[in-house]
Amino acid sequence: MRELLIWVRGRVHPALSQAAGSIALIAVWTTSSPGLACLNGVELHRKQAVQLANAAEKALADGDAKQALSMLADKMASPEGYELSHQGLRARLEQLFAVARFRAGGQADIDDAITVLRQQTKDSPKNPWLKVRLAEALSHNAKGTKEAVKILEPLAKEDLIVDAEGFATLARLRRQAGNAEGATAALERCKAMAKQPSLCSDAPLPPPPTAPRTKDPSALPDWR
Amino acid sequence: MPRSRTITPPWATLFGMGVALLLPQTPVRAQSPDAAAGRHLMAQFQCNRCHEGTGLPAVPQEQHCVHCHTEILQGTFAVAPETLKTWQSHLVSLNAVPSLTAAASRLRRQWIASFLLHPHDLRPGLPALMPRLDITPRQAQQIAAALVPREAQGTPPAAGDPASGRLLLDSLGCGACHQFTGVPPLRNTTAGPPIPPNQLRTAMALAPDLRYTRERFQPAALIPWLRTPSQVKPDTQMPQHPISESQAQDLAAYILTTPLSAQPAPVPPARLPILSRRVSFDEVNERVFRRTCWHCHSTAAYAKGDGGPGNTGGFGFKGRGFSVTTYADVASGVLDNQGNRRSVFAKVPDGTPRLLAVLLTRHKELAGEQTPGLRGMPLGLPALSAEQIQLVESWIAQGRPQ
Repeated sequence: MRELLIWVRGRVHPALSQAAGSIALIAVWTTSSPGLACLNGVELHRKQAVQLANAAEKALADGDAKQALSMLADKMASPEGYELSHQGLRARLEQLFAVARFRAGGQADIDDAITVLRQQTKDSPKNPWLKVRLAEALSHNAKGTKEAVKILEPLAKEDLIVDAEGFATLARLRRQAGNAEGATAALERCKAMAKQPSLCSDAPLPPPPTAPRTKDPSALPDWR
Repeated sequence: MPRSRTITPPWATLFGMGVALLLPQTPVRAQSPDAAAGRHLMAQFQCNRCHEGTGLPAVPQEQHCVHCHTEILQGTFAVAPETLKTWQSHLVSLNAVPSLTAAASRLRRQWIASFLLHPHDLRPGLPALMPRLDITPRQAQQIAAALVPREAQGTPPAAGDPASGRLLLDSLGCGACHQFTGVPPLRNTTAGPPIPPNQLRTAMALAPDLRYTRERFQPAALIPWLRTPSQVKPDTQMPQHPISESQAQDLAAYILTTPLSAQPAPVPPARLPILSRRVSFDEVNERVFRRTCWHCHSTAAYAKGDGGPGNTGGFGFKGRGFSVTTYADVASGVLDNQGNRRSVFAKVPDGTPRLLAVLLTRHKELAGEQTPGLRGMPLGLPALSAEQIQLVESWIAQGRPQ
């Protein structure tokens, strides 16, 4: 093979040789081979991605954002990187990662999560879950509360606040704004829904932990 | 060089006209505009996701309801064995669906149009029913025209003897597969040509209630059907009995003319009281949403095909974006006609939350009553039991505990 390559390169115009090499590399990059590593990024099978999403959702629903963050970061922010060809699943994992980051991560994670959720909300403007999550993330920052209220109140009016965490966020924001009656009503909705009533509090959130930023997959070098 | 010109002598022209006039006229059967529109509509409503014999191209496997279910029952569906076993134990619907092959040779066009608008329980052996589609009367007529471009022109059956026909129905064992509501029950025997067990199961599932034959069947088509069904419809499960022309006329006479007693409409079950114990989403999900609703209201990100007709659209329905995959999905509501999200817990005019209202409406549909503005759920399937509806109602009344 080596001799053949040398023979070819000796007889073919250098530009053609480079073009052929580029085409070969592109073919490697674009060939969808779920079982093979694409350079250093491993293709995440659909089944693995669904299992990961399910596990992360369960952890978040159980109030264990740290566990969700750990399992998602393990896959999504690993040095190997990951590829997931299914766009819907990829978006779902990114959403869950963002939620885990703002609930369990430090300030930098909160800011990154807001960026991700804002973009996702822009891509899917009619998705109440995304809107509630963005509002929840924004409520972690003093400067985000006004925008969070603007998102949540219309959803509340339409009975589209999707879960107990959303009502807890609304209760907190209403309390901050001096709307005690509204805060109580939101807390009642939260308590009726919540698996863990302890989550239903309108007390101000504690400051975020001092923690290094969880590695952001978008910050990883692109080996493609 | 000048072009040459062929001059046809007058006698040749006259000769040609004469031959043309004398030859038998073969009519050019152009497709009527209604039939052409009907074919497009059949594709739009995706009749081929359940029915064979539509003349439409095959749909991908993951979109074909019956193929998927058949694979599961046969054990060839690619999924973990324990999951397969669970699914097999739950699977009762859409294992067999009537094919539309040779509809033109048998069915009345007007009946088809009427059935599309007001589907009812035609085949007592099948749990699933024809779904109530979002279809106009005109569209129903067009689909009927596509399936039956022209009804048979032959003569109706000559007058046979109904009494002899009834004796024959019993002795041939037609009651092994068919019900005939409105007349004294048919004898259920195993007389007649033996049918292989797997074919008998399918035959029993697909056998229509003979009560409806007089509305469904083209009169001239019934005798050939009774005598040689597989020649009329090659994929039929109906066995062939060696009966004479006069015996077929006796059978037809009984089936078409015997007086029928009125069928009482099914009575919707009484609503059960709200449960005092806490009902969580997990319980409602396990006993209702995942068991029944998820098939049409799943999420494209997880389901092998798409999100289902109730989410990403299908069967002629626009995508309504409603998934029951997670608690938050249910709480995220549906897309209205303007593309805005509306809560499924918002109340309909009588004060019932919409999600509950559509479940109750399904019972009314099965009793023959359609409610404007509401489509009964589950679509095309038996209504939920009173206990299942009680569970959903209790869950909503308790504030939808996660």
